[in-house]
Amino acid sequence: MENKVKLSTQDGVIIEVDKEVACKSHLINTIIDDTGSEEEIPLPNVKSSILNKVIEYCNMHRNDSPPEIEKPLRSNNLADCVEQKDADFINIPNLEELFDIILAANYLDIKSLLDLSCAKVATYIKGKTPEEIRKTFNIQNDLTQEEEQQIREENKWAEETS
Amino acid sequence: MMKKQQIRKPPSYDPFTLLKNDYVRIILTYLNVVLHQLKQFDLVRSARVCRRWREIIEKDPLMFEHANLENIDSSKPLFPILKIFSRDKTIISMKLPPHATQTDTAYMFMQLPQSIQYLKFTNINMEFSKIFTRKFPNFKSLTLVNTKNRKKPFDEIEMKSFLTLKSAQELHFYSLPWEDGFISIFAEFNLQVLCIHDCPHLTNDSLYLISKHCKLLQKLLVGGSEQVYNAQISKSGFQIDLMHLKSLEIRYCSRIGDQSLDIIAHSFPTLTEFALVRNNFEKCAKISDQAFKNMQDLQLQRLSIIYTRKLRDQAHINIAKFHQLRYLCLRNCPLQYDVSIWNENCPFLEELDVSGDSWVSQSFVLGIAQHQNLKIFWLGHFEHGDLDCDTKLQQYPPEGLFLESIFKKETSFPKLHTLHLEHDCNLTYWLYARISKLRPKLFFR
Repeated sequence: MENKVKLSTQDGVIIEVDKEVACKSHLINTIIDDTGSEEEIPLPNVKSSILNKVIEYCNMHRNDSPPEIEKPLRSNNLADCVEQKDADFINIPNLEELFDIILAANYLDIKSLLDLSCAKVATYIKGKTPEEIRKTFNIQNDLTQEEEQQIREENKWAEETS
Repeated sequence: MMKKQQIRKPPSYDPFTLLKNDYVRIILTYLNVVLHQLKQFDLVRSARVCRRWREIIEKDPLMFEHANLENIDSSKPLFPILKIFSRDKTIISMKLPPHATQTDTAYMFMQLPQSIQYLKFTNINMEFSKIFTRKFPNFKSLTLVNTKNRKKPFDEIEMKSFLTLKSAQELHFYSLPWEDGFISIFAEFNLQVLCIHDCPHLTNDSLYLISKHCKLLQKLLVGGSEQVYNAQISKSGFQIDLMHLKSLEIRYCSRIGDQSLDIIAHSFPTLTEFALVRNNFEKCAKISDQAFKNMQDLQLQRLSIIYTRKLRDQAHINIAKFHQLRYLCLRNCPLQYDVSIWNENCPFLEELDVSGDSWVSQSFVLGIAQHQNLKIFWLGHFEHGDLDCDTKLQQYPPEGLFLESIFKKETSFPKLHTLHLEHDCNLTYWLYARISKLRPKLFFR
């Protein structure tokens, strides 16, 4: 029995990992079930740098599956909501990389990593004003001033404090 | 200690453009603090970020699937919030806060979508016959909490109005003004779960009526409250038939002791979960080593005995007969023997709770450290009671060093991933500092 699989990434790098670890991804698991693990598995949507991060995560959870993250988030410090090692893992200051991980987790179908990375993004939104959020993520404000005012009016009951 | 999360620089493009609405939604659901704590209404604020976010937040009904208004600030009027839900067609659960009036509740009930499955009312000072006016096909679970101290039991018309929710399989009641007449209504339900918390007035007759009217019951909880024990229910109350009962919890009943457990074991051979909760408030029937022997024939997977001071040298041996045990709680029950017998006899044990005033001993910890499957451990006050943490402060590190030495050995607690320490014990901080260095992956609570 072969217990390694080869994954080939978008940038042409081939990464060899334990089958057990790779199968944390539902996508890879299904491919192996269908076609076996001899051939390289092409992952055209994932860069090698991101795949390495994802494998690091899968390796960390080789023997367990993390519990669901409680919604809403209790605090902006993710370590209060998930295990320390997960919080450390996802503490990625580069937002582009963080979103790449969301996309990869979605593509590779690893729910717990998708949840973790989404929760991390949420911590960057929580407690911020709309303007701060736009700045953080470089989001264009396409609402007119009147629209913004209107939303503000509608939700007055919720926003007046703090 | 905590590192502040810092983003180096904003990304060169809006990364959300990469994501489909579904994922933006997942991210935003983590912000749904709304219905929890109005002060941090992140979600509503986020609606002002841009048009797309606004649409996702306002038009996506899944945002409000679980509407928990329970802890909402009581100075806020409820009506505008309830109005938000009226445009929502997919709410599954709704919890109302204690300041919801009869008008609020009736309005909410009128607006509820057909998808509703769980309802919780924390104010029951109202006439339910005026509220329960519609039927919900998928309804599963009703919880009533008497926080406003309603004294009047339900009258006949009100009781009948409960039948509009008779697809419910679960009923949870907290300190309801009790009359046994209510039980006869349950005959119309196909109840699987019935939990009657804080009810000192339940009697053996009530139990008989429950067994007669709720034959399909899988889980039953009865008992008094921490301050007012139930002194009515006794062992003969459990000489009843409930063929499907899997889980039984008895809370604060002063007459339930070793002998009652014998009867319970005979009456409900299908039990896999049993819990007995008490405290030091009232003198109770004795729970001793014999209790576990009396229940020996049950295939228990979860067992909790909270508070007894009568465990001696046979308790752990008797517990070892429960080969299927996965969860064991002996909170506030000093048991000071070497429990390594559980390693072989209870191989599936995953969680052990010996927290509280339990005088956990060195030999106990030495024994349980060898367990191959234990994942979650609640340590409790080690080698002392809950009132003398301070005097013990003088004496450790000896105690702390002992525990540290156990965690130093890699063979101790091989599968442990979570360690609960007492939040008000002086030893805790010291232990956390030391053990977290030894076991960086361990999760502390």
